[in-house]
Amino acid sequence: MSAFWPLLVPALLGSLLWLWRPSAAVSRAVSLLGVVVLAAWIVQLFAATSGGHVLVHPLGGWQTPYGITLALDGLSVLFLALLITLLAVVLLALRPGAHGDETVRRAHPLLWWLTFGLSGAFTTGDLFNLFVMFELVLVASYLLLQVPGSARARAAALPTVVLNLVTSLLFLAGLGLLYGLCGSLNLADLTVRIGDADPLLRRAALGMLVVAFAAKAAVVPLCFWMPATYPTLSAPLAALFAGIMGKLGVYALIRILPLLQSDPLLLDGLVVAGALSALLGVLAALSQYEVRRLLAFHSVSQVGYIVLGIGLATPAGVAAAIFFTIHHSLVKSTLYLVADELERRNASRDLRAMAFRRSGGASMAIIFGIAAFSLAGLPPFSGFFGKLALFRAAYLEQTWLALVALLVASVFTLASMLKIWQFAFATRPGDDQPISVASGFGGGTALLIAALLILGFGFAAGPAHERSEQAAFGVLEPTGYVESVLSADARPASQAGGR
Amino acid sequence: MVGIVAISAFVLTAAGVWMLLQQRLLRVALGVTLISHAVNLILLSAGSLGTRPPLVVPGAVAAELTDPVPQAFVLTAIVISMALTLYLLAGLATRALRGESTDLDAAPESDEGLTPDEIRAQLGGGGQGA
Repeated sequence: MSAFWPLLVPALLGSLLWLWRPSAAVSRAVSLLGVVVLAAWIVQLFAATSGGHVLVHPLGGWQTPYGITLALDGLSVLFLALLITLLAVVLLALRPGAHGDETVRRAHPLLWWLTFGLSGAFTTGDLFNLFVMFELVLVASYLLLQVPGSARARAAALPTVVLNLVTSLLFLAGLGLLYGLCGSLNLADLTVRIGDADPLLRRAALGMLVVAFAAKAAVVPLCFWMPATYPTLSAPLAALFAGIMGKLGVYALIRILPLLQSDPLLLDGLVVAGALSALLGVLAALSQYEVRRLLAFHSVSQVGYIVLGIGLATPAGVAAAIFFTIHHSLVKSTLYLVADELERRNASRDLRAMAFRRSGGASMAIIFGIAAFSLAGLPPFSGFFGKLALFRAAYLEQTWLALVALLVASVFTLASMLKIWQFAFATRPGDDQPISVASGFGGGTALLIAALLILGFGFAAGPAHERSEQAAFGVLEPTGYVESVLSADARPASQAGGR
Repeated sequence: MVGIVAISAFVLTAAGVWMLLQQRLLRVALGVTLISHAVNLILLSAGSLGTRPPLVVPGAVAAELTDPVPQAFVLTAIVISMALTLYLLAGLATRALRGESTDLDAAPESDEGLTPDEIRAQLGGGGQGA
């Protein structure tokens, strides 16, 4: 089992669909087939990385740490699995009947390039390669931002692009400093060498990386691109962006934790930024009336929870952050898919124009309820366990202010979900008759699968948390990772024949 | 040599940040370009600037040559930033051709002023006009 092949499938499918430009129905069939193939691979990878095993693939047969190395550990596999799950749901939800043929045809090749970039970022063991994959993801996302083609979408995309360009440059400058300091950008090699570097310069280099990743994850104060663009995207794409693309920054922050552990000040900075995000994000969300703007500010708040857990840098904190990331991705994508239905059925993005009978009635209300309760953290749902784990981690570290911030933010989370409920689902006098909307195959299926995933994740919280703990341990005690990468066989089987 | 590069990177970044803070998209795009040049200089200086020969000549000792990796980094970075600058400029050109504002903060914050049919077209159909 190699870490390499699952990367090729999205790249091939992306190119194929881009050059071929088949009809929307054929695109969907090909893409869904691709998802099935990838899912089968990832199940195998899950088994291959259990027990802290790391799959290493030195590209081109270069001896590590000199070439680009792919290294797949428990953390990578969790994020890959999350990516494929969300991609499947979004591919089902994005359908010609509801969103238009042209949107579907334009989106599919780009979605596969986005997937290629994301899976590359989750698999790579080299920081410069991570930067290249980041750029690939961003380019695909810039183009996806333009898919709706409306004037508002075009205008909203530009500030986002500029912000991401600047943070990418910051990332790159940090890499330059880091290479100058340590002479390597291979993560395993860096982990060994970082201790010898000059502390002040090291802080500057790592600080640049942290700020860049935090901006991509939308942490206060670098979060405002997210609420500006997510309302104008095609809604199922917003579900994928919020679910997994925003989590790329989170993944990168967890990935460089072995380096960050050398500098407690940066970690404390993450805790403070996380607590502020959690509070300010949810307060901003409460004041919004556009559903997807509200949800986007919410993401800022929830990413705050995650970043706070990462900043604690304890096994409990990081495990909680990983668990919370998966929970939040599933729930937030579901909420965006519900928002998609609400917006199209009510023919408005604004909550004030919505009414129960137009919003899809009881079935939509139930699915929204499951996602909303889970987000608010009520017990049998996954949000409860995620928050419990985070609160416990904050309690163990005795970061009382952070704990209070999280608790207060939780209350407001519930309030903001009630706000959507109040406007979209509570019956009000003057309800009009339903507006007839086209739906097409897959809309109800996608929502149902999404809701079942949330429920399932809630019931599987125990094993999932165990898996998160393993992944967190692999990051915080990187000896195993470092040894696996640095002692990797320089010439894998596929390359050995040539010489 | 390092001093000159450091000062150049500083000046380029400062000018770039000043340009970034402008309203007009063209200036912002130029600002991004300036900052990317500064970053390229930083990347380049991660190697051994001006103290070692860059070329492999007969009889050269590997340990006395310039590290080639930062140059590969810079090359990659240049390609990426060129492509993205083109994207920004294309966005600017599209907006200018359609007679829309070329300010960075031109995006409306809500759908006020749109008819329900226009909103429905955006949410459902999409895809009209490229």
